[in-house]
Amino acid sequence: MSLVTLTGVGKRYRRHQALAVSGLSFTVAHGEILALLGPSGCGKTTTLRLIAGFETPDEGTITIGDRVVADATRAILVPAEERGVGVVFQDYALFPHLTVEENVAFGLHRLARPARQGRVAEALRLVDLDALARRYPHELSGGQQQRVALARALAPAPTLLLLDEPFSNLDADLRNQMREEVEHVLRSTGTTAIFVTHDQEEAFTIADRVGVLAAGRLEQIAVPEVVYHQPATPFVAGFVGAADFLPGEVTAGGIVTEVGVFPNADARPAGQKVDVMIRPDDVTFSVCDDGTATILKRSFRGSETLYCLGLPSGRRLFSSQPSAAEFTAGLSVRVDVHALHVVTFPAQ
Amino acid sequence: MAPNPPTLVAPRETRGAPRSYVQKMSPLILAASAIALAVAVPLLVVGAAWRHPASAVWRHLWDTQLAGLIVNTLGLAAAVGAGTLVIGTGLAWLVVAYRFPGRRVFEWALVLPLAVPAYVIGFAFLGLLDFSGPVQSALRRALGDGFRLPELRSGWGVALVMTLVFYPYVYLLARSAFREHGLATLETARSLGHSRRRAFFETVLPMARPSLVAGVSLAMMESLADFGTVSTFSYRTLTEAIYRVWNGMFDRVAATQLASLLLFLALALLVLERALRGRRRFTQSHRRGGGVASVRLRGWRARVATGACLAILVFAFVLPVGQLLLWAGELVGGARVPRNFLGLLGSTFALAGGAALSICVLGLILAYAVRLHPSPGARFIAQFSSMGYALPGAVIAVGVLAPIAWLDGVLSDVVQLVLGRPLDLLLTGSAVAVLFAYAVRFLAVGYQTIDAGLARIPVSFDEAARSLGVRLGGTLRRVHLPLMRGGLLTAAILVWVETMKELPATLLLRPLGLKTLAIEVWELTSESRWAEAALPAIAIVLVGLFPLMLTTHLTTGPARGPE
Repeated sequence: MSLVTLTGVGKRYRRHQALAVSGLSFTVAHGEILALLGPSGCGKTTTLRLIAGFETPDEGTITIGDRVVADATRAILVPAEERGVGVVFQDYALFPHLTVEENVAFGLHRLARPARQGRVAEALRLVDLDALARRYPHELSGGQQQRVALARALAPAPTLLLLDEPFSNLDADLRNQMREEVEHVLRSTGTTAIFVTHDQEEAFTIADRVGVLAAGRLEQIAVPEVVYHQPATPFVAGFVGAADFLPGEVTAGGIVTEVGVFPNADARPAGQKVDVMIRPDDVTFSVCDDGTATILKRSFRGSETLYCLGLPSGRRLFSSQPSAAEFTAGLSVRVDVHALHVVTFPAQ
Repeated sequence: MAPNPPTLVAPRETRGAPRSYVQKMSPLILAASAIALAVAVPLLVVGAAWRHPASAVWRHLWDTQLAGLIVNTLGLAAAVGAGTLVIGTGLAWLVVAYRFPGRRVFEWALVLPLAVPAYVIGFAFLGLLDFSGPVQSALRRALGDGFRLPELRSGWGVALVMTLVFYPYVYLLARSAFREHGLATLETARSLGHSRRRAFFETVLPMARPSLVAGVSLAMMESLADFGTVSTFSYRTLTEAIYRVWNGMFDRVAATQLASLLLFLALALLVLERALRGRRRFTQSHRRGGGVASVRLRGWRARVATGACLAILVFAFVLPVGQLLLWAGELVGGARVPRNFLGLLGSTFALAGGAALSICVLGLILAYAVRLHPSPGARFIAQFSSMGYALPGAVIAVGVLAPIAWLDGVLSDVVQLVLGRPLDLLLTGSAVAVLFAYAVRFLAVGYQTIDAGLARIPVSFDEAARSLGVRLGGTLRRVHLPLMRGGLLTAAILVWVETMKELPATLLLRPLGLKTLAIEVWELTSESRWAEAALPAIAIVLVGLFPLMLTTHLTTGPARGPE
């Protein structure tokens, strides 16, 4: 059963301007964590703001629970303060004149005092901040501020939690730690959450499903593995991981490319020209004097080394290899591609 | 927290019918529009003055004085503009680019004349240089009985006094412009082979032009709007003529037509300022002047620099204020403090307090309307409502009276209809008219200060509050007001002080018998009772120093050259 449903949602910020998002349709199930992933300006934050009620859709409907909160054609609009949607802001938006516990209690104004205090204590315990309840936001570290923001959003027990680039203000070490903590809190409270990020690793680690947005449209929404291995569009293929595309032709025996023949998994008609997606981790090579390819460049990346290979056609293909072995640029090599999932797109 | 705790903020049923997209006009925007309309009314009244046929008084003016009035008014503005440009720019460059004895003190002290209204400095000088005053007496003793100083009650005298009082506008704006990009630009230009002098005239000065133009036009606006100084010096300008025609000849039509002339001049100045400021927006690299060294002056150069700053400060502040203190001291020492003085303070503070309070509320409404509905329309409404700051008080007073009288008529008609007998004039000659005029004139001060305070609060705070189920009123009370207390207080103080110094509108519109410090000063000085005028004048100066202290620590503090 889905908690949030978007149907054909579109939004434009200025009249006569292109839609910031358009034709958005997806659902989020109870207890699910959905990541909206995309480059900056793709409309992911707009989508979040539409669901929160900070923006008004120009097309489509948004349903939360069994209530239509926005419907462009029937002119329904439930204001943000009545949607019961919690939001964790990118800048946390902690009220600087209130202490940690006052911040957390901010949304509990409808509760009587004892119940409110109980709920505040509970929320602070959840994020492990009970000791800092009397501090002011500026006296906290970035990670602690983020936890306060989370506790404040969760304290009124919202039906849905929205997180806007929640980890972008933290440095790398802290970011990994906070990802785990936030996911743990969301899972343990059974909170349904949508979060926005431009970092595919973040989306993959936390989310049950990932929706990839580009230029205001939803390109694909699926579990992380499917998004990575079976991207629906070339954009998704390139955005969620490094990918090269080699031209190929469909024949009876498979898809023929200059690095070998691939199975025709999509059952494309013979004679069709296609682009085959190849990820660097699918590419291996062996040094051999009569190899047709050449190592053009070697980039050391720590745990792996990325090689740029020049193919006879002049095209380039990347291969990531464990750092243990080391090959110098200029060597002739033979290229092998072992793609578990063969992904092809009609040639452009 | 249990997996599915009872939810607190939702789902609550939306009451009644679903809300419409085509929302009713927001009440805030409506209120802001009403404010803009109210500000526009006096303008329209003055602008529409020409519907009436020229009256006899007007024809008389036309035949005899009008050309002279206009020449006097424009000449004064031009002289003040030129004087403040030279003094303000020069001093600003001195304190920014050079180090010399006393610089750190001069840096802030040179702003002090801004605390003193021109009419106060003016009468202090008149008293000082009076035939029987200390200076002339001393000179006569030294040089013989036949000695006479040139008459200060002249166009040059007025221009001199106003230049001394208004140069800080140019000084302040030029100083921050020079600090922001002046030194860095100078360094760049010199690295490209320009001499210091050439770099100043070819790069630093042109880059500071928008600031200089803004400062000079502020000074010229003030000179156009001034009533107290010109009337004390018996120098005939449009403001002074408006008052004479209004109060002396009781010809409101002619006064309104004169006001429209002044209005035209003020608007022309505004347009000129925009044009001169140019399309060019000079925003410099974030490199602030910090890393660039100012030059240490030595020997006679240092003495000249210190002497120049000191001379200006002495003439514009120390001498006149010192004279006021002497006079006031004699009054207090001789136990000759007028008995009504406390009452005078009380009524002035109360009137200014009422203005500060009402203007802060209006400013808050405007600022809020723009924040919640950030459309070009809302911004225009707010901008339009702030326009009154460019209008001389005399013009506003003339424009306020007609609508107030009309409102009185309507009220009277309503009362007649209900009670069967007419009503005395309720609003005309009441504090309402004065407060209305103050609101038109000083709304910009309140609005801009409040808006700046509100702008520092991120919009995400509003959204956070909403997402936590808190409505507009709750957000204002629980988030915005606590966070902008400082800004509100600053706005209130600035408005309070400005209204306290205001003379022409108060004079023209005040309720019968109501006196403020400014009016008391003006009345006493028009009878040359300098010493008695000193006490209320000193009160105004002290109050005027207040906002200066409030703002100087904001404008000096950082970006001081390395010592």
